[in-house]
Amino acid sequence: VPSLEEFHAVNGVALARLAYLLTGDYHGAEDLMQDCWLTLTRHEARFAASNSPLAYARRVLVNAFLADKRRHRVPEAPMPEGQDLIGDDSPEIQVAEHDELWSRVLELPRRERATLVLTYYEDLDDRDAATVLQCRPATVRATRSRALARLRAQNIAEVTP
Amino acid sequence: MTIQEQQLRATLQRHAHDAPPPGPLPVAAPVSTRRRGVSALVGVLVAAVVALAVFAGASWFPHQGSPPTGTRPTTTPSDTWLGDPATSNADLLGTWRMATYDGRQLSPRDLPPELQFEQISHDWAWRTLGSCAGPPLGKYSVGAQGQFHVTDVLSLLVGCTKPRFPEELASVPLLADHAGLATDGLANNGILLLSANGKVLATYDRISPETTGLPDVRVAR
Repeated sequence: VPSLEEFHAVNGVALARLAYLLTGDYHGAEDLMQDCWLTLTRHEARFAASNSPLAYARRVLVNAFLADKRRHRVPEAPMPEGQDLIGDDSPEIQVAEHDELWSRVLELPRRERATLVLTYYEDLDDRDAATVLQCRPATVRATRSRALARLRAQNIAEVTP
Repeated sequence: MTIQEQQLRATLQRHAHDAPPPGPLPVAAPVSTRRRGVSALVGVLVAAVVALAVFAGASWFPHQGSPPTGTRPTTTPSDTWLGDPATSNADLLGTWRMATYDGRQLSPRDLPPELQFEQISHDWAWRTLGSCAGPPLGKYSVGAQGQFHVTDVLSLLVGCTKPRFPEELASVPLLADHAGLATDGLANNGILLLSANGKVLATYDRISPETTGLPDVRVAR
């Protein structure tokens, strides 16, 4: 079992990408990653005892993402125009501006979005996705079907990504 | 896999590259079991102290029935009406001829719903009434948030729908963040108009059956 530092070095980028696909927001992904690392640091013993550290970390990350909705955070006030530290031409600002499918994915309910990301980005089968989402595989299938149907209803299939 | 699913996979993979860096691992010292136990014990002790304070505080309220008697310190009201610094509290009260206290304690159910009932601290009562009412022995307050005119305050707090006071004052906005009725426990009660940071904007004192001769408290509905 790798130490948390080793795990961070090897899987940090992959988890950050997962966080970004879940949130669809650069800064939101950074916050989510920090929540995730904090939880993993607090529960390092549990992390080390898990059969699959990556699966455990994914679960922590997705849990944090879903819990964030339940918490009903006060929305953060965006900085005024021109004061952002990131330039307007940076890739993170341009994300999703011209990608209809991506923007539609981001409009899905969080649990549906997480299910799609785990299935089509992380390539998890229903059982592994169910472990991360802490539900039954049948629920994963149902949620995924619902999400795809929602995208289909928006004629996404006709859109060229 | 359908075309839609293929598109979805490609889209997700492309956008994944826009992710931020993973960020550093937080530097956090592990919390020992013993430390957790100490924290829990401290929490319980704090809760017990707060409960005791609340219980003890309840006995400081004015009692039901006749107001307690006592000697009121003779002081000069230092807070004057903002709109007319030359007008003292006593002058205003002499004109109003109204009652806010008849010896019984107001309860939240006596108040119109727009009022907020709150119990004020001893220190708060001292700060607000102390300048003209001496050391407070009790604490009681009903309050409303917002900006008020004199008529609003009187109508809200004591239900006096037609208070008699100089007409020109009725149109002057008080611009207070808090309006409250407080007592010092010696049947000395006052309407307080406070700013958000607790500064006394105006105090109308000596409102009691003895000074007004009107025993009823009428609460606006």
